[in-house]
Amino acid sequence: MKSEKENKQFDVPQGYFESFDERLMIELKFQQLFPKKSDGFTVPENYFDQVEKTIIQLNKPQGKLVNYNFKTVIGSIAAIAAVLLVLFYVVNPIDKEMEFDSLSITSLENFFEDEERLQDYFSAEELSTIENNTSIFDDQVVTDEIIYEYVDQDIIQSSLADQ
Amino acid sequence: MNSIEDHSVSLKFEDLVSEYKERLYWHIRRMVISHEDTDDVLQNTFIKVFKNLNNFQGDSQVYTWLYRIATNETLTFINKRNRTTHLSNEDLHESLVTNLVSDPYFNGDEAQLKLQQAIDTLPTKQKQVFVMKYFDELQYNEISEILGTSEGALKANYHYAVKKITEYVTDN
Repeated sequence: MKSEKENKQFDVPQGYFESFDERLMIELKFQQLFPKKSDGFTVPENYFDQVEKTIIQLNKPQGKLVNYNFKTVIGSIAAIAAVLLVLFYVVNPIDKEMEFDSLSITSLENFFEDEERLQDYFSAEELSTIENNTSIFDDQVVTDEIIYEYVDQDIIQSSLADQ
Repeated sequence: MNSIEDHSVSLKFEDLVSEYKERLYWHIRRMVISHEDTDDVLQNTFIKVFKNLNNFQGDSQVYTWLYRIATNETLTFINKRNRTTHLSNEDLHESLVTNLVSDPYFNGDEAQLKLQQAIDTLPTKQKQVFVMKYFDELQYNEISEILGTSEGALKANYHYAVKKITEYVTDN
């Protein structure tokens, strides 16, 4: 048997021996109450075979889906509209004094694609009107052709008509 | 199909599902009680596993990583369910345990029903630790890695859980 002096090199958590009896009694009582470790839950017949098939099926690679949300589409439309308007003014000699030449197209695109800035150029009512008067946002996939067609019909033409 | 390059072993998603579906199912079931809810959470867990297979760093064991995802999915589900039913976690769990009597996928005896009722009285953290230690038979260092809690705190949680369950069953 080791002397008390030898045991001094080891340490135990504070209060360990004081609480040991209580912890042991609780554990013994628990084991008496629940001698077998079972929770009583069951599953439907063949469940695990079925769920494995379902999970594998759910995670099979599928065709790539491209999702466009409303703000993304509006951002794209605004960017395209901005580029077209810049081109219109650049080739129009009357507006030369506006000095659009000093702006890069990329900067303008970034400017209009920023969702917060978009709110500066379209009021909530206008955004709502655009959303409610077109069906293109109902489509999961919006092609470039659809965007160009929309911009051409609803924005550019009205802009030109206002000139 | 995604796979984990774990040193010399290449684990395919199908192998993970096959290997761990039952362990994860029981882990989830003991927290959410209902088989149908467990089925949903189990599928969500593996969908998340599939999406993150390439991000698995290999710095923890695969099953620890899977348990962590399953645990998080379970807690997310429980919180969402509580919001939907406008019941507290304790009230909802009590209702689920009460319904166990008529549950076709519960065939426990009186002692097991009493055990579920007692577990139902525990706070979420103690419940998690008790289930993982007692039923899932995980080591404290494994539970610590899954829950991000120190082993000392886990031992205290487990001890208090056992004490409360024992007292509940004795008093009732």
